[in-house]
Amino acid sequence: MNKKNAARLGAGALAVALALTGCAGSGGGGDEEVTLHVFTFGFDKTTDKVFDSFTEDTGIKVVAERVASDQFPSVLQSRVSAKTDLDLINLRGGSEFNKYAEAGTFADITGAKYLGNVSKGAIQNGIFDGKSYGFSMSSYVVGVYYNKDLFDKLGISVPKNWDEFTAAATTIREKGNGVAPLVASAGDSWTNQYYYHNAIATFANENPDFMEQLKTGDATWADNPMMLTQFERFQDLVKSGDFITGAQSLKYTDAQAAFGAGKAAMWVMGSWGIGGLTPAGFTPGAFALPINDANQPTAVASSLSDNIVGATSWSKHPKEAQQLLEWLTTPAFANTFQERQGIKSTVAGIDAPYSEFQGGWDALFPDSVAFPPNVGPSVNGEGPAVIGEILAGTLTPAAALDKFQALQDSDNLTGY
Amino acid sequence: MTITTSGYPRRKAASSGLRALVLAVALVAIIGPLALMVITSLKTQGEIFTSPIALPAAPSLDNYVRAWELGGIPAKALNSILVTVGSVGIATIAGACAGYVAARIRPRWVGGAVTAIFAFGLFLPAQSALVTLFVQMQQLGLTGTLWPIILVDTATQLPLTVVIFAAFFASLPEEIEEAAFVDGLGRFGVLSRIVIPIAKPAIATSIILGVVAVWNEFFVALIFATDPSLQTLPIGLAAFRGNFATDWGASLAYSTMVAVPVLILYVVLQRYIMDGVASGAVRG
Amino acid sequence: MTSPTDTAVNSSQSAGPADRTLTREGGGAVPRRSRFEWTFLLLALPGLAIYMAFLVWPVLASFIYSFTRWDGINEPVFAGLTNYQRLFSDRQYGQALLTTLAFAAIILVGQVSAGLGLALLLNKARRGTSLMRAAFFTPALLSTAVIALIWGFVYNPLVGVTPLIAQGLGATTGPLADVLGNASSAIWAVSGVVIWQYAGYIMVIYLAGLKNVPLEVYEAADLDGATGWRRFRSITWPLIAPSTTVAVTISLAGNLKLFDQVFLLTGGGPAGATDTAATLIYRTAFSNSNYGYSVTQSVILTLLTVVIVIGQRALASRSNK
Repeated sequence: MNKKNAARLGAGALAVALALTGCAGSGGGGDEEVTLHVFTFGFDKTTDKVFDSFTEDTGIKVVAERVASDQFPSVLQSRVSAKTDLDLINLRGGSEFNKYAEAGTFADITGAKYLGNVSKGAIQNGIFDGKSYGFSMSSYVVGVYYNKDLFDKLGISVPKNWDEFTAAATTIREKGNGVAPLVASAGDSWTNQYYYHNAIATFANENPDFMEQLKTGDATWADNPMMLTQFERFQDLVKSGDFITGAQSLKYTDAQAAFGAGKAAMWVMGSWGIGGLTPAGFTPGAFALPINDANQPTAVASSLSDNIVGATSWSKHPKEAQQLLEWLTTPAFANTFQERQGIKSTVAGIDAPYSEFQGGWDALFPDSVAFPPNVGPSVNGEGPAVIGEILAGTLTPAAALDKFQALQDSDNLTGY
Repeated sequence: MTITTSGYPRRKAASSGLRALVLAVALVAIIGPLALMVITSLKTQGEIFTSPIALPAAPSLDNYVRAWELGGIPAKALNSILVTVGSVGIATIAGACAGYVAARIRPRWVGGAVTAIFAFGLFLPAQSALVTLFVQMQQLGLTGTLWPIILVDTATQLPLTVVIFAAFFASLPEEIEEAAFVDGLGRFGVLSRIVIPIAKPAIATSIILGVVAVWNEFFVALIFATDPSLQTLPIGLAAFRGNFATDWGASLAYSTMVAVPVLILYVVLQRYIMDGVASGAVRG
Repeated sequence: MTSPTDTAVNSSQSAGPADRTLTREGGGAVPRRSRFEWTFLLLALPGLAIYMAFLVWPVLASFIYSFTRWDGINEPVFAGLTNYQRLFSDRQYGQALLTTLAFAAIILVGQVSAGLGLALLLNKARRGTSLMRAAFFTPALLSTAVIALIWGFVYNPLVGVTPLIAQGLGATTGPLADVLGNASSAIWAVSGVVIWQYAGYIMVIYLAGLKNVPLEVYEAADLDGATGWRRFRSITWPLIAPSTTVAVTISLAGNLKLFDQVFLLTGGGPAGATDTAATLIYRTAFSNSNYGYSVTQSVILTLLTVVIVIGQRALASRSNK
């Protein structure tokens, strides 16, 4: 009796479980038409609309899935480990792309004709170990947003060296009627890095072997004298009280909103920040962060191509995936992308405006130097935190440099 | 549970006034932020910035409409309901069975071992296993459905459920069951006909704690929503925040809509919960 | 939320009637009940199977990676004990463990005193008491995503409530103007949120404990003239010791793994001031691509949690005796 009942219960539970599994299908599978799955950290508000015309032209459906950037790495890692039903992946360039390219995530597109449609830098970013696995969709340049109207009112001209930059900050602090000279957003650690971004780019550009030497241990970050200088200068800004109240906990979008609302006169950030920027009755301009001294030529901005896209090596629809990649390099798409996302596309010959305020940023592109794509994951991910610590007053510039190098050592140890 | 007895003989009016004051302060501190969420969700964007803690001049549901439409709430709510009903249902049934075994099996040490094995789960960091879990689900062919979320949520829910039921059953006198055995009922018969009907407080507790945990769960649902159509409400809320970061009104309206179903369930089951939450816990 | 309770202890302590010799009039001995019941154990099997397959096994299996160098994607490379060696000289991890302990301690004291305080105030049945109890429990029902949004709003330096208070006090800079942005206030601000979230939960545990305090004890104490604090210290507190043990266990087990609230409110900042072991582990794995090492950090955190909670229980059961 006892035995029978227990056994029956066990079997019953199993049957219920099986029955539930059976009816759990999500009802997704298309009949004959192909659906491509795109996994992305970008394509925000326009996710659904951006692919419409591709579907109209080809009959191939596209489903894009967007994951917020702070959760993106963990979700991407699971998806790639399990080789889920993904056809295209849109991820960050540099260490993130390199790691996945090494793991054989992407289909080899070396020599594909459509690569000719995008800029050289965009192709360069998608090369790993001599082969093309993708390309960058967007070009950015990093610099300083400034409130032109306020600058004019206070009689400040665009700073050409660091002294002029700090002088501008002082003028705003003293005569700006409560407007903060600078907004920072250490609540999103990555936003800190733009105070040393062109310091890395410029030095790496002048010393082409430097990044490799860092990896082999033949050089350290102390060999780039501009790093310590920038850390020190940043600390000086902090000490003079040039940052908006709340800089230590604000998020990226808060910083953008604060600059847009006219609460801060300058914002050190990349050109992507122009998408979604709504200035309250003033014209925003842009200049390169002048990390040079007074007797030196004015520093140029750092640029980066990012937003890499590639097809997965396990895609069930490799032909259609290539079709979509090719479409992403057409002017038809690039114009829409540029207009809707407010981001400058890497596709050549595009004229759709990406913002009514793009002029200042466009002017920075021609002279800019490229940020090296082979910065290690820890330096990339945790490095910006040292600026946050200087902001918080818990780290001296010298200690910040040591910490930066410690992150490099950690990357070297891991070998990525 | 025994009936509440008044703890203290009556004291002076002064202490009673002090008590009321302290309670009022505590009430404001605990309910204030929730009220702020609801109040802010009824304001316009302009009002939020100009007068953050004032009442809305003209309460408006615009934020709710915007969150509902842009946030894809209906589909996500359905997923949340399926996942919650699925995992809480399985965890409660399987947990009641295992808890009954733990409380009644002979020799006693076997029951102790069963509870100890489940209690171990309270310490396990499921987060460090997410990638492993994902690969496992893929091998089982379950990704692309809600099943991985249901199964993992069930598994993480089971330790607490078993502990609650084991403690509850252990506190029941065994005589009734003994009598039923004599009447020829087996273990399963006793469980289903005698024990379960009197286990309502434990079941209610298991359900409410399970619903709270599963309805609100974030990381498992994030990793396994391999398609936007599989997203649950908390993931939807996070995605909505990502897309409309400075739209505080709509974000807080979204939050309110995520919170309300649990609050309703709580009101319905409330009379069981006070006893229930404690029943697994009092005997430490 | 990680949660109650108390398990092996419960079932063995409440042995009660079942220990009696299983003989009855008419029925004679019931021998099968003292034997090991294989079939009865099967009843526990479905639960055990799901739990083992989808929690225990994946977690333990992933612990293997603590002996590898692995970025989570490419082939893991066996690394012996190097991850463990590195851990012992890892200052950042040490700091994160200290922060975790600080959080656990602050939250523990806050939750237990707030929960106990509320329970004492609401123990006596009066008009509105049950409504108040219900109200105090509500924060425990909400998603941390929702809670982080509410408190993120309250603490926001540009649109929030705390900067308004700061303005009211004439302090436009300093901790109150940017609660989450100051190293000195952030840990308290985040702790405050967790205390707020679960104080009602702890209150319910104490209310249950207080029910078991017999009224006669107080009457006897009244005869002795014991009042107020003395009465609480010498009578109530010892009698509700079991509830305290449970509350402490729940609080510790949950907060030594503290992740969600920190991740969503500060991300570990400012300047690492709120970085807990769990948030550091997450970043090591996913933003630094050092999955193998993150598992090592995770193994140690798990062991530490188990040791602390078991140690606390052992201490409690000794002093309760």
